[in-house]
Amino acid sequence: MSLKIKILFLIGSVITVLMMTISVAFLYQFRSVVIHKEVENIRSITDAISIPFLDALVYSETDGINPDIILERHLSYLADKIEGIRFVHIYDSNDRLVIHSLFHFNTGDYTYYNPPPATRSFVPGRQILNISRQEGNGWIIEVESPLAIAGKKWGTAVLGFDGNPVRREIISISRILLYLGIAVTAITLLVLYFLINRLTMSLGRLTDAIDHFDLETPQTDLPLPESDDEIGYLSHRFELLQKRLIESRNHLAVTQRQIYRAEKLAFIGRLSAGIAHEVNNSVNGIQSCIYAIEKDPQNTEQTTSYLKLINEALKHIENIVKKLLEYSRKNNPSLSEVDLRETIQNVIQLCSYKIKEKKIDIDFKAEKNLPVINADKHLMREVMMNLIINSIDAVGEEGRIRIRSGRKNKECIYLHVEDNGAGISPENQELIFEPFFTTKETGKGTGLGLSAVLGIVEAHDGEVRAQSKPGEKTVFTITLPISGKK
Amino acid sequence: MNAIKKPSPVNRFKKVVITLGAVLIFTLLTLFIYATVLDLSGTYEQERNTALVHGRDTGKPVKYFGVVSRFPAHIIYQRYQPLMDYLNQNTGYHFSLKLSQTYEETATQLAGGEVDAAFMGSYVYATSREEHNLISILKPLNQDSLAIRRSVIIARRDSRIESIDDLRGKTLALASEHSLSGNWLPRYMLARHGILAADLNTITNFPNHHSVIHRVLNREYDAGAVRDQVAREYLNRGIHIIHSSEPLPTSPIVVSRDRDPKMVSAIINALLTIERDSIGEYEPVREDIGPHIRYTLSDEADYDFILEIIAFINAQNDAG
Ligand SMILES: Nc1ncnc2c1ncn2[C@@H]1O[C@H](COP(=O)(O)OP(=O)(O)O)[C@@H](O)[C@H]1O
Ligand SMILES: [Mg+2]
Repeated sequence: MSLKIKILFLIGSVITVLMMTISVAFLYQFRSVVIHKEVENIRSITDAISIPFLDALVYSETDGINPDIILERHLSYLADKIEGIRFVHIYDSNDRLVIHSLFHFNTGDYTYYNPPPATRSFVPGRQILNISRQEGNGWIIEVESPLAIAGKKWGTAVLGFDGNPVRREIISISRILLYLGIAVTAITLLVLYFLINRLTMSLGRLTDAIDHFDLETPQTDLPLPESDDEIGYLSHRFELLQKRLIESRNHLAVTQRQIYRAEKLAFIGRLSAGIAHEVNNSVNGIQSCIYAIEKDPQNTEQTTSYLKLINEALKHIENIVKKLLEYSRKNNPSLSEVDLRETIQNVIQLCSYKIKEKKIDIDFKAEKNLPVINADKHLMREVMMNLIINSIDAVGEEGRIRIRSGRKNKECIYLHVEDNGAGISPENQELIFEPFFTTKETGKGTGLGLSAVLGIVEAHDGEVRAQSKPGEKTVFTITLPISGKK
Repeated sequence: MNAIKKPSPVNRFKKVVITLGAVLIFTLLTLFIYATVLDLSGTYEQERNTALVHGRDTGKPVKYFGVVSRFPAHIIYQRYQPLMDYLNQNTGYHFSLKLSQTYEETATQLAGGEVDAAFMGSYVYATSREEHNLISILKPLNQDSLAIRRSVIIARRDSRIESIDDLRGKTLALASEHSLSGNWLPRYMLARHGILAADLNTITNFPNHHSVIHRVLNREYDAGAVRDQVAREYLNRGIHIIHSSEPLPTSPIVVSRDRDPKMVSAIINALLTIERDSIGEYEPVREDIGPHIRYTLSDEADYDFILEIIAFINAQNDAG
């Protein structure tokens, strides 16, 4: 529900209830005043017009005069002169009917005229005024008034008065109050509507401003004011907020630059650690070659090939050192034609010492259509070296490592390194490419291998993905553009 | 404003229902209030001092209290009925007023037992007590708690009548021939000053004291004689008192010596112990048409002098 409707609804109901309460209170007050006034009025009229009736009855007792003539004369006088009187019944001290009017004075109507009962019993010592609705006559105010002096009663006068004028008075005031209430409520709501419209319009402007405010980083969930704060105040606050946001954004940029620098330093550190690692890997390879030559020095053919391997490992080390020197100068790898079959086989040979030690079943197959790709030979070696060593570390005794490579499509080749080792837990899969993330004990792992792989593959515009079902298998998939750059 | 969501149909339906409900409740409430406000039915009672008066209704023995007056009956009831109500509440009897036109009638009724007690003028009592075997039992007290009143002679303030001696040759209005303070005592006072009926232009008796004052105020008569209390009502309306009598006893309540002494002592006990203000709206000052609030025991000897006065006046007039 919009704020406008909410406020209108709320204030509308409050005003309605308020108006109604006031009107009802006023109405009841007015009603009781009107009725009270009428009761008093009728009492005094009754007392005044009862005197001749009383006198007639008193004289009939003291002087033996027949009261009928006096009573009748007075009746006709009342019919002529007293407005609103409907009937008069006079009872004697024994509550027997003495005389009564013959029809309703004002209406002259016989239809609804009920002849009064010949005897009635009256409550002594009280004048009773009763307002009630009578069939055909509307509202009648009936008064039973004792005709008495002090403690002596000569009879009772029962007088009927028209109650409808009082009622009409109350009806008219009720209507006026009702219309007034509705009018006041409507006017108030109208004024309120315009006021709220203005309010929501400026609120709308403010929200527009908020919506269009963009810091590159989206700031969408700025809350709308819920209380009826002044809009100006709100806008001012929003301005301040904007300023603060811009300031903190600038601050952030500075900080980011600092972090970037720190990262670069960290990367150099990481690189040197990686280099140490690479050198170590190559030295391990050389060691295993020397070990084989030492075992069988007479086998010149083997010695020649091992020496060739040793030479390549040394070249690799040389390359690494060169690369470190180049790192600051050059971001792009130096591209040349690389046959991945050769590279992978070389890496497997370099690792054969560990493979044999762990009795690992390693299996490398390259599809025939695997082309020569344009890449940095040494970096490709590093990638393969890292993936294969990670797999060797991951599998247990007699583990299995499967390496597959082939053409993925026109532009790319793929490379799978799969093992049935421990696997990577889902939460770690997010983290393994982070530098220095390692699960290996200190001295064994640096946590830099995969981050180096990622860096190299991305530098070649390729992609690297890791999939792992812990306990079952782990697959690292690399895609590389054949042309070196897409 | 574009941030305002469009309400879902379910929400809208709910809102419509709530609004309709509110309107319905409002309308019903209005109709209900309208109906209750316009229902005028009701009973409004007001206490009227009208205890049932008939002896047969109360079960008490009915006794009659005589009153003599030429005032209209309803005025007499207005004056005397409160005292009857008081007696009815404070004695074992039910007293009912019996109005009569003449003093003789009341005296005869007292003697014959038709009335059991009566308010009676001093003169009538003094002259009829022997014949009808009557006795005065109580007399009322005035505002000063004295059982006395005076007879005064009044004249208009703008007249040159300043004393009794100025009355020679003037016209004089008197009250009833049966009135001590309005007739006999004034005649006596004049006689004592050596003014006889013959020395005045005219002497006329009127039925009550108020008529006397009205005649004087209307310049029909030069002077008049009335009871002091009545004169006092008119002092600031153009009359003044030129002579005031010695104190006279107030008019007694009288019974026949043959009456039931229990009833008599019941009346005496009740009236002697009236608390001031115990009798409602009641005007004691207009003594000629109403009893006083408080009473004291009467002394037979109080009224003896009246016969002497009558004798004196008759003798003077005979001599004149
Ligand atoms: N083939 C794999 N099987 C299981 N875990 C692996 C595999 N390759 C990498 N990992 C996980 O990734 C982590 C990071 O690898 P890496 O960056 O090469 O650092 P390091 O080998 O020095 O630990 C390893 O510690 C290991 O937990
Ligand atoms: Mg590693």
